[in-house]
Amino acid sequence: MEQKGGWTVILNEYGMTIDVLLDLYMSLCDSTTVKKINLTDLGNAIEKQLKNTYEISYDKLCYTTVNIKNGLDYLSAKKYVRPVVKRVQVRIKLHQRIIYNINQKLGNEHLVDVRDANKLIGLYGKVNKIGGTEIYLKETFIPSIIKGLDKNTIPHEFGHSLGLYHVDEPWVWIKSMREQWNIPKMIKNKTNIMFGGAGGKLNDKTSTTITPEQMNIIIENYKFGRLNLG
Amino acid sequence: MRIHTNPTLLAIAAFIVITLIYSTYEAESDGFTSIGFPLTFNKYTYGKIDPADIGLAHIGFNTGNFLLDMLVLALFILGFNLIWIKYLKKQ
Repeated sequence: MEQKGGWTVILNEYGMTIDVLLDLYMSLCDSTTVKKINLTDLGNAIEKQLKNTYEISYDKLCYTTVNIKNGLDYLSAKKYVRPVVKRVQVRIKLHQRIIYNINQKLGNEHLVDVRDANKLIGLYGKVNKIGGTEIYLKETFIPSIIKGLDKNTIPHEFGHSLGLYHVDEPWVWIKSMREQWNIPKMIKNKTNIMFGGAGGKLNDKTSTTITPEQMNIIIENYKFGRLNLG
Repeated sequence: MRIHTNPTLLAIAAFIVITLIYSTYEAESDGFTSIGFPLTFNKYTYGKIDPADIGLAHIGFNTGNFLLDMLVLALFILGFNLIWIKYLKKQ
């Protein structure tokens, strides 16, 4: 499962616990004309917000194979599959560096690029593609991200970078069946980060959570090579 | 000039393919999906919208651009029919 740079998802299973480490190498760049963004503060805010959203723990139903040896009861040896509930604990680790030009980005390293308002007209930010490595943020919203007034934009864009789709986007079931939510599920998870902006369900302050199912999708995305797509 | 079925269908198919290639599809990752050739007649996003400059983004269906695109399609059909009559029909 090892890939150089970008996201690496490491799973360590011991006993009834599964440790999941989301490891990311990324660079921060200020591509604005005035270059007055404090990238250190932005990096700290990104780390804090990603930890707040993605460091979750939940129970997962797993299946383990159990061997029964033949014994005094004269029964023959056999294998059977037993369901067990394991505790999943997710941690996130960021390796950040500041660059002065986007050309200084290394290999599959992710790029967080702050852009002038006129380069992202009408938007807060975007990712180059689902599972992509380039995240663009509009300079106008950086102060509120750093101050913690906007706790959604960063986890939302990184969610796209982790291969997640909008849960309320029409036709998303064609690409990912499990990410097309029905209305009761949306109501139940109304603080989810992956609502689309047009639906009016996103709130800068409160939309900060992900579901265990989305975390499982992230792990699968990494397993099947749907992350770090360039 | 008489309009023939085969070159007309071919022109429509070519126009659709060019439109699909020329369009951008970024709505799923918070950018804009812009559809139309040569002018964008439909633009939308599923990302967070900045109300301050949303007017400059020209989101939505643009009837003027759509009619101009249809004019280009008509030219495609005419062009394909001309080529059909001049070069291919004789063979």
